Amino acid sequence: MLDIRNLHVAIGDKPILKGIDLQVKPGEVHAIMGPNGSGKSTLAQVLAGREGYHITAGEIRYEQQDLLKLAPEIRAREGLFLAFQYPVEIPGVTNIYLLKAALNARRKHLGLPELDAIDFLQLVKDKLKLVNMDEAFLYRPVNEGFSGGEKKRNEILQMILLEPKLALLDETDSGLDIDALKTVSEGVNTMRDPARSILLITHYQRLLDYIKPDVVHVLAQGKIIHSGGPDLARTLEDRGYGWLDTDQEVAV
Amino acid sequence: MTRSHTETAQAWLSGFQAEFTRKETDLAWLGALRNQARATFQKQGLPTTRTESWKYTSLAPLLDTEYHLAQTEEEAAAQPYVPSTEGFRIVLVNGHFAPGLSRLPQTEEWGLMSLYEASRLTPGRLEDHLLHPNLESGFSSLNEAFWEDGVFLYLNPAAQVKEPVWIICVNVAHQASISHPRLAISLGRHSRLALIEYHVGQGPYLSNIRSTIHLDENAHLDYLRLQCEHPLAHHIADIEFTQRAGATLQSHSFTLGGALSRISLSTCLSDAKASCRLFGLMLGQNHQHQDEHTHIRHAAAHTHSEEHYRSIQDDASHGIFCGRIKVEAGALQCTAKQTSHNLLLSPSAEATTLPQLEILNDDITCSHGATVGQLDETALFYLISRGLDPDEARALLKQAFAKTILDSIPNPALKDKISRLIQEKLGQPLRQGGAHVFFHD
Repeated sequence: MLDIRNLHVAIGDKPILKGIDLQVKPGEVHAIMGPNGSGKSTLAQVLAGREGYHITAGEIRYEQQDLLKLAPEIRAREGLFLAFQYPVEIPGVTNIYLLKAALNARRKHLGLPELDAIDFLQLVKDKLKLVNMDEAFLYRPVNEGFSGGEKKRNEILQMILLEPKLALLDETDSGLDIDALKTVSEGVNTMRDPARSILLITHYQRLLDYIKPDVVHVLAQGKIIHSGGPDLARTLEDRGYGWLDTDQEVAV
Repeated sequence: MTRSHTETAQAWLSGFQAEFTRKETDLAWLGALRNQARATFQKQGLPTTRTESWKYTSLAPLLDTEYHLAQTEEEAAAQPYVPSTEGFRIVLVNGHFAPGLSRLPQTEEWGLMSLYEASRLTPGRLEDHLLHPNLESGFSSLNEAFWEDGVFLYLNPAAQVKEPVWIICVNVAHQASISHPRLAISLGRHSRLALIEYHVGQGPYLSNIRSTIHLDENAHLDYLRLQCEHPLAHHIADIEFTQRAGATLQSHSFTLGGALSRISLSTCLSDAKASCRLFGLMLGQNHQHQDEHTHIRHAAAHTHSEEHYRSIQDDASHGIFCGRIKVEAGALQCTAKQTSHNLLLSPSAEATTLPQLEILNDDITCSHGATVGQLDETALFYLISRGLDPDEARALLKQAFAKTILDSIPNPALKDKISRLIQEKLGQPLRQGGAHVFFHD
């Protein structure tokens, strides 16, 4: 599904990622943990295709394609989805417009017929229930005036609707109360599928109480310094990141 | 070689005087008004950029042009530019009344007629309206001196006009020509009207419009103007409202067309509880120059104003908004709110925004805010990361920027049509011939 080799990324002259290697197979859920400033969000942004990052070395293959050669909108239509850490408010564009445009862009790309307004509404109403959102959300401007929890649920709604092959969740748990965290986690868990991969980027272990990852990686100073099973998250919670020698080579 | 303002003014004045055919020999007061306006123009000349309110609009593109007074045109030639509208309307072609294209009411309650007709039918009423003109600039004076025709619209007290009334100004120019539509509108006490003014045409004309609109006590007007002039045309408008006690005005100004557009819109809230809400949207492309000056004068206590103007400038266009608000010393407990937001889509586009607040007492609530910015890159990436085409995402954000203004249009059918028109203009290069296609069902 996703194969990252020796990825080096800089912002301006400043190196942020310094040789990331990461392989995610179909059906797997990976968690990337790490202290602030370790490069977690940079990795998410680079995968989604945000401008302003310089790939100085390495490559990323997604479904046997060179991901870095694909425009961001093509990546999305090919099934890559990023749930933003800070979902953007867009006054003047309604949520339903964005959802429908996004889904139909993906369907068109896949050679499927676009959904008309009636079919789309039926579909989205079903999905709304999964994230415990009211229909009124559809007609509000994208994220405008949403609470932190509503914004994150809206990201999950988009993800469920678009049915991505690879879902990247960038700190989706940050700023959530326990109820919202449960709703979001349930939403993510309904997405678990042998043909779908999920990459959770998180600062805290608590999300992983609800979404059980197959592999946990520790990202620090632009490198993956440690990888392990789901128990690694618990160890990190108890002992912090200090016990890991950040100069040590990756042990997979 | 560019002529000076003075030389041009002289050339225009003597040329127009020779060409002008309308002689109201039997209406002494009207003849006197015209003579007075000519004399005022002699003194004023054409505005230069040394005049504060014309600082950002140079008339250089007009100075060398030998304008002729616009002549009557076959109605058939103007027909394609006239939108299909419901209800009553009056059409001026090259500033002349076009009876075959107009639909005038037959009612005691209110009247809609050509200005020339009004000078025959109700000279007294017209005289009341036209006397004591406030000739702000040389263009106002030229209009007053040389209008061939125009519109007289009046509502008797308590008259309620159900359907919107359209005033359609079409210019069909085969040579550089100038028309001077003169609109005189008067709403009686407790009357109510929705008025739509539409400007369109073909060729290198200059449309020099002057409107005086009086709202008597507790009258309500929904005013909407749509400037869709031809790309070679110039549009100069001077719109002057007066509002008596409790009168409410809602105004929407959409400026889309023309090479050079200069609109001056003023209102005087002369008595308590008069209020206005002014909205504006300018869309500039290519080398378009769009200048809108508003002036709200709070002359009495408990008067209220709200003003929201937005401008989207692309290519090498320039949009100017100057919003002047004056609160007189005795005008206590007024509220005045103004916003001006500007979106620049190209490095060569320009936006100038000038809030000018002159407040002569302390007992008021006043706020203003102005921004100039570009498309939000984060929002753009968010949309693209959902699979939207970058061009579509850009168009969507531009439309979203315009939406606040569009959403405030009270008439749903009109809101829908204008929204589509704006959508089209934001998605595609400037169309020739204006917006009439959108109003043909």
